[in-house]
Amino acid sequence: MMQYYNEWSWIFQIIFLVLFIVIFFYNQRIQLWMMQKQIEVAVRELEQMTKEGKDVLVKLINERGKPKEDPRPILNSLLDFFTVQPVDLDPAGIIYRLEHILDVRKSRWEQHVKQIAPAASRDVAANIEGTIEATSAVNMIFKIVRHYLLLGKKTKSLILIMQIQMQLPLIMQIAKAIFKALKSFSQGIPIGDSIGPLVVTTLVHDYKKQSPPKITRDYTKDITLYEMEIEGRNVFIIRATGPGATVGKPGEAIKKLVEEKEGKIARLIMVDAGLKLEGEKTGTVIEGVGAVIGGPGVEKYKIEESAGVKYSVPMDGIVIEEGQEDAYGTMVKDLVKSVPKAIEKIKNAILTRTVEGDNVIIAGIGNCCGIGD
Amino acid sequence: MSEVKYTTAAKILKVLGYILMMASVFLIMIGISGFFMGPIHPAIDPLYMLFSGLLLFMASLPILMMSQTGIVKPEFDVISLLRCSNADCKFTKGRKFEKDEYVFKELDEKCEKCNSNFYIAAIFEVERKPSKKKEEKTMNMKEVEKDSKQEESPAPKTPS
Repeated sequence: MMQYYNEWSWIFQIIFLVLFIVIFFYNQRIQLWMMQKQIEVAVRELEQMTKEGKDVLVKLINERGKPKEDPRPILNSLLDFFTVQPVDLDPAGIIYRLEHILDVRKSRWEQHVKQIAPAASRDVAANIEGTIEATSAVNMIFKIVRHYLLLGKKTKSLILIMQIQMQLPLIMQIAKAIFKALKSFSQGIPIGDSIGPLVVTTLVHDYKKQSPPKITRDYTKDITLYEMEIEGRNVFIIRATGPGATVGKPGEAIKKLVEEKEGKIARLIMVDAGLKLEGEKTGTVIEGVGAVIGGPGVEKYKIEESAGVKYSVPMDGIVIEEGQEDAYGTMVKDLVKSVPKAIEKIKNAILTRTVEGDNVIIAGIGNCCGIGD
Repeated sequence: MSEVKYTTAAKILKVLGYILMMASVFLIMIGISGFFMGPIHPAIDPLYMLFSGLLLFMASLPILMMSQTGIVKPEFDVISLLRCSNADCKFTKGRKFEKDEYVFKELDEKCEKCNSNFYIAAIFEVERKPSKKKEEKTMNMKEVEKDSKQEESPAPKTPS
């Protein structure tokens, strides 16, 4: 009996020795292979998202834009559209150079959308533009992840593969969130980022019976201005023009309004969505000071320069906290429930920090997709 | 990112798969150690233990794979919250979002209570519950209405 087991034990010893040598010399290769497989699965998922995004886009354009020719070639070129950032070696005046580039980019996109969807209304055209931007973002993520995967495979570099694999959960989270935004834009459903305009427009609706607002559409490009009386104050409410997926240039509008009123503004209150930290509840309303606005920084600069530096207008910020997925995705119930709380904070700011007869600006910052006037 | 949710059957299969896998590893270890140090009991043949372990291991793999098919993909309904345009009535109701709707759109639909027109006060998504779809949907709507009534902003004072 012992003889039999001794014979087998030699075989197992050899197997273990071989395994030991393989793991000793090829440990990294095995690790690399396992990480590559994970990235390959993610790349397939991203490719599928891009393909689905393009399908949604083509369907939307064919349904609402009535194109005269196949929109696919123009769409494909738009998905690879690039914007070169201004040189920052000499930072003086960089904001205005950046603004110029962004304006040119915006007008080019609008021209292309008009070309591929001639029958689309202003709002539908804005939704198509938003959908193209979201598809382009998903496409870019797909191409970058695939680039690092192929480069890592080519060079057999563990560091390249490892970097992407470790960031993969976050990358996929962003990609899925943008993909959700794509679907919302295509149907004109409000997204989480639309909470700012939703809050200020609900405020207008709450008070419109006692003080019918004077509405100026296109006060500046894609921005609507409401002038009305709230709690005895002259309130100027600024938001992007909806219900198309526009963000407008709220900074430009605030600057123009402050200049028109020669700086006689008692308070500037800005309402926007803000990213929450993990563990915080979606829809929590918090307060602070400063220009509460995201984006590349052009609009923020204009507000700080005009309202802040030139006229020393005090700036209050009200932020509705949400996760990245909620900000890009369709608006969730918790955010809708935060609207009355945000309105209460605005009212409180007006009542406690201004006096009757004062001029107050309230700006609802964010994408106006699905938020009408 | 939303957490992965499993159906009850998938959860049971997953637990069963892991138990089988652990048992198989245990049997394989007993089998292999038996070859080096001799069987732990004369009646236990290491070769038999080894093969039983391998068989159990192979059985656990399809069970674990099957459990992966029971991942519940969350589905969402987009709800339009309708509110009566009469400020004194404030009646609200939720229904599924329809194409071309947007927030603050005035609707032709009339309020059941005061016959004023409805407008859309909000559009948002809610997660669809997998079971008892019809009942749940009605419940979701009721919940939406209840929430909106509870958390409604106080009406502005109308100057007399």
